[in-house]
Amino acid sequence: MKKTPPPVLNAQTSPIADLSYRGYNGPLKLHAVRWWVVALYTIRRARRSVGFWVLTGVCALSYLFHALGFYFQHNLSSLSPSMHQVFAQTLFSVMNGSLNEYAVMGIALLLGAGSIAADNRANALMVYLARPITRTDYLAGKWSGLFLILYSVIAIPSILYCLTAMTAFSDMHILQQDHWVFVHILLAALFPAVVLTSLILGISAWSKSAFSAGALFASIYILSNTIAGILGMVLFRKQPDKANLLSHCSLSGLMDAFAQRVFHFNMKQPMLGRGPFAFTDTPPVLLRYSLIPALVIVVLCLLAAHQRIRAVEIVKG
Amino acid sequence: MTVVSISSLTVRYGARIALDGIDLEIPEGCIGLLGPNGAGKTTLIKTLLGFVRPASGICSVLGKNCVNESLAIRQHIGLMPELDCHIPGINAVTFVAYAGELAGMPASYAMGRAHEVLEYCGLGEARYRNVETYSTGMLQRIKLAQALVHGPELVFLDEPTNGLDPVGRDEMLALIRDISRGKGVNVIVSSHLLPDVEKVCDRIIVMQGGHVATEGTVEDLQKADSGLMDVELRETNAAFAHCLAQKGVQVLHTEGSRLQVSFPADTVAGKMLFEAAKESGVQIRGFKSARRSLEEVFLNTVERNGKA
Repeated sequence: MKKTPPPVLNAQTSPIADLSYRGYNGPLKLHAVRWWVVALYTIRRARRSVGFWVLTGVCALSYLFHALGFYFQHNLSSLSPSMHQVFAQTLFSVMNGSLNEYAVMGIALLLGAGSIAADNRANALMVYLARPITRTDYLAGKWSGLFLILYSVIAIPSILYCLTAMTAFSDMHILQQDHWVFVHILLAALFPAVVLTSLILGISAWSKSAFSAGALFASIYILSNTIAGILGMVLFRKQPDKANLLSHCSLSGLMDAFAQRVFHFNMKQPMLGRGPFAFTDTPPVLLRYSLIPALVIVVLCLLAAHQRIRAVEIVKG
Repeated sequence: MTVVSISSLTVRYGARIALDGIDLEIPEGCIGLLGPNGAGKTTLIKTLLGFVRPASGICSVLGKNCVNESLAIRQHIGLMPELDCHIPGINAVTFVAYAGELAGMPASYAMGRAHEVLEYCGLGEARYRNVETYSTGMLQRIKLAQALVHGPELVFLDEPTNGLDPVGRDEMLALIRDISRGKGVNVIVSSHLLPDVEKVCDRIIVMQGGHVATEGTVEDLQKADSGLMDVELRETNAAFAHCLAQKGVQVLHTEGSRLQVSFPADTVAGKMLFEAAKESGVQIRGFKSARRSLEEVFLNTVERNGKA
């Protein structure tokens, strides 16, 4: 049978794809969920950041380190009067210990400093806000994206730690001792994530450079910690109550105070002039001393950010 | 159909009046927005986008009020700003897809559409490169692509050919012409480059000092005042110009056998020309209303309004 040759395709008359311009008639999402696009974009950008994974690794290491420490303490439980107190303290350290605290601060700085500042610098706000989204949608998206990252980085290792302890040391009956341990973890993780996210975004919105926003954020964080810590230690001998309150007058201090209140335990405070290993137990401060300043910081930062996020600069003459 | 409708619109920046009670109807098509710096072009665009709140007056875009329905308006419009607006570290596809998602497109649709419009805008395989590696021409194309990704009905292009070389400029103008002809997209081009506007726009609006100085189709505006005519003779003849001058006709300039002349008001141009030709013994090959370049139209309008 005679075969018919295949038709010769003419590239000019039969293009593979129609490259001409066409309108879009596809589906559209509801306006109410547009902020989530901004949040997802923030999360996607974070996933591609090497620095973020390094710092997350530091948080995970902290969890492993504390889990190991708890394992040894548990096996030598005669050294510790109450393993539950030790467990609470270790859980607190997993969430708020220096290593973890600075790693979380680093993540907030790395992802948050340039979050709005980079858009300011690149004039991208005009393009974004020329879409059907409001300033509030944009800010809500940026905030929730960063918040979810920080919240996950704080809460997930803590939950893992708790699960490890529950399965490895079943004799401790952790859930029976504290039925709400997971709720407490989720609650304690909420506080630093909300405060750090709001503060860094408030600073970022008023800046055109990620570097300057990051430098300001780090300065506020480290200086407030250092000053409050020194004042607390100096005053401790004369006015221990005041000193305890004063030592919490920093970003880190507020977070510690809230977590301490949630987990109900006394924190060990170094005593100045009593040798390198002299510590004293400090009881948790009242909840309002941590909640009210944090609320003020969050509200002021979000209002400042909202005020600054504009599609165009309007100079009134 | 009217794309933009403005009535007694006033916009103030503090004590300064940026738009002073303008009335304007912008029909479908490709419209050029011209005017010297500070004329109010950008303020007009910002007001139409809902970025600036008018002090008084009413303005609507695609039948929707700019003040109350700015979100609904922004669903149907695209903006290509004058300034660069690219986030370093991401590629063109991601940037344009993100712009599409912000307009409400589901992620998969936005990604597909980003590839389509970037291909259409001529980015080709370069769309996978990070934006900071792009040339000025490529950056302009990305800005156009992000404005088109969600299929807008109206696109604002602010200085679309800024910083482009002649080839890039022609390509950009060809793109603008293409989207504004039969694709259901209306275009408002704000530019200082009058030849560009002349090439792509059907109508122009000239703004000055917060007012609309003049508006109309490019063809109508280029037609000179009724008294101005281009005359072509068979051969150069100095006596013809002399005869015209005696009849009160002003010869504006002569180039070989071509003359541009200005007739006094209420005169019949044809009759006077033929009388002068008869007297000077010269043959007229043709005459027509003189056409001015857009630059002349612009400069005359600005000068006239400046004096007023």
